[in-house]
Amino acid sequence: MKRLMAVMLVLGGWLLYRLYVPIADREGLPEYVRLDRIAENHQPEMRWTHHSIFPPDSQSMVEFLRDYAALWAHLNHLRQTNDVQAGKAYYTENWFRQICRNPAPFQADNRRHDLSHYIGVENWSQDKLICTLSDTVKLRYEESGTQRNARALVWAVMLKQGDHWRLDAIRFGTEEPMP
Amino acid sequence: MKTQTLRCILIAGLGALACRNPKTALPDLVSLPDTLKFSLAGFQVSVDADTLEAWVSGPVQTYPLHAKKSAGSWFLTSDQPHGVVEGPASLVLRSGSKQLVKPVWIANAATATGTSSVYFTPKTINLDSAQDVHRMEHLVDVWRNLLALDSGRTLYFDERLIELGTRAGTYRGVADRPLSSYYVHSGSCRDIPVRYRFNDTAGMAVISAGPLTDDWNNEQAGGTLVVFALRQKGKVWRYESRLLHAHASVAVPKEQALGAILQVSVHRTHSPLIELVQN
Repeated sequence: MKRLMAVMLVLGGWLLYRLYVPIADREGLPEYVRLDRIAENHQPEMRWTHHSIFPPDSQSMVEFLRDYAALWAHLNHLRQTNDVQAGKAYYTENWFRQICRNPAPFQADNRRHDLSHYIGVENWSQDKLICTLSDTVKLRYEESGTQRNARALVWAVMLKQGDHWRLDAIRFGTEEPMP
Repeated sequence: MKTQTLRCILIAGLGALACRNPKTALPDLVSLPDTLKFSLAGFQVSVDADTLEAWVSGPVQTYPLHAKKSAGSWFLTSDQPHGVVEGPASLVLRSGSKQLVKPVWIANAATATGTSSVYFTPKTINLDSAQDVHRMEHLVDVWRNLLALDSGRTLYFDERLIELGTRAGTYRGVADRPLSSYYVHSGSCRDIPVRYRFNDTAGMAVISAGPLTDDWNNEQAGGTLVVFALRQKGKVWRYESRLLHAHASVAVPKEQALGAILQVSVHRTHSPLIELVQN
């Protein structure tokens, strides 16, 4: 009887796991099958223009902007937690090595949100593998129970590697307070 | 009963809101340098608190600070041994439920020397399709901070089209960096010079084509397929050879060759029709 109860409990646990943990969240699955919970609902306002010799096409930019928005979701998460693993799909090897040298996981309760981006594509390679950009980004900081908005200028190098555009290098310019 | 339930819900809601923002502000007695330079040697802040937690939320990562009290003020240090991604940051000081946030700028103490990242696209250029290559350049330091290319710190990227000239070959974008190489291939074959001779002893005819060059006298790539078509008495014999040092040749039986009409082709370039006759 005890054995039967044990089997029933195990089966019950397994059934609950199957019911309540969606397939896309299970550990051990390849990255492209799993849902990106950090980036999936992150939809800042995005506009773009280009100053490059070769203009990017709209279809490529749809893909690029999707990855760039996801990257920012992960940068905000990284800033708050120092969790280098979560956004690995959006980092080049050089960038990943650099952030791995820095501090251990941390849970800060001050948050940053990127509300909008105005991207200027500065260089665009015709093989659609290299994009450098300037970005006027509107940020919202939630700190100490208050909010403040700021506008920052950011320059970044993005490389298309594998399934995603990935961040390779960045430069943050000065911030201006915004209402 | 209903009123009591509503009151409970209201109190619970207010409690939840209070828990959500438990922080009240620490008195702002802190005067800071505008820029915190990492590795952080340490700096002093005057905060009236018994305990103090401190960290710097940088543009990309958060760096915890060690807080040590001595002679009534706090001394903050960081054991962050590496450089940081530079940019706007927030210094957070927390004592119990009180918190103070100060915007600061973080930078690296060491002067960074950048490594130039140079990209050439396409890596392989055929002279038929293009005579320039797209070159992109930017400077990156060891902490993946982009560095300006100009002294005014406004130019971070450079791109230009580099004229290739007309010589096929392998070129290096940066002299000491083999990975920056790009490859210029010859264009299409311009024309096909053909020669032949009969070897009566062997009973064969040797037909050769070459040198095969493009419009700029670059040799065609080794291994290019050359087709020799012999038409005689309503039949066509097709012989194939591969180019080596811009030349290709085939040996065909004399009875097939003699009096035949020959045409040599490389892709869509054809030689004139030649009647093979023995002098």
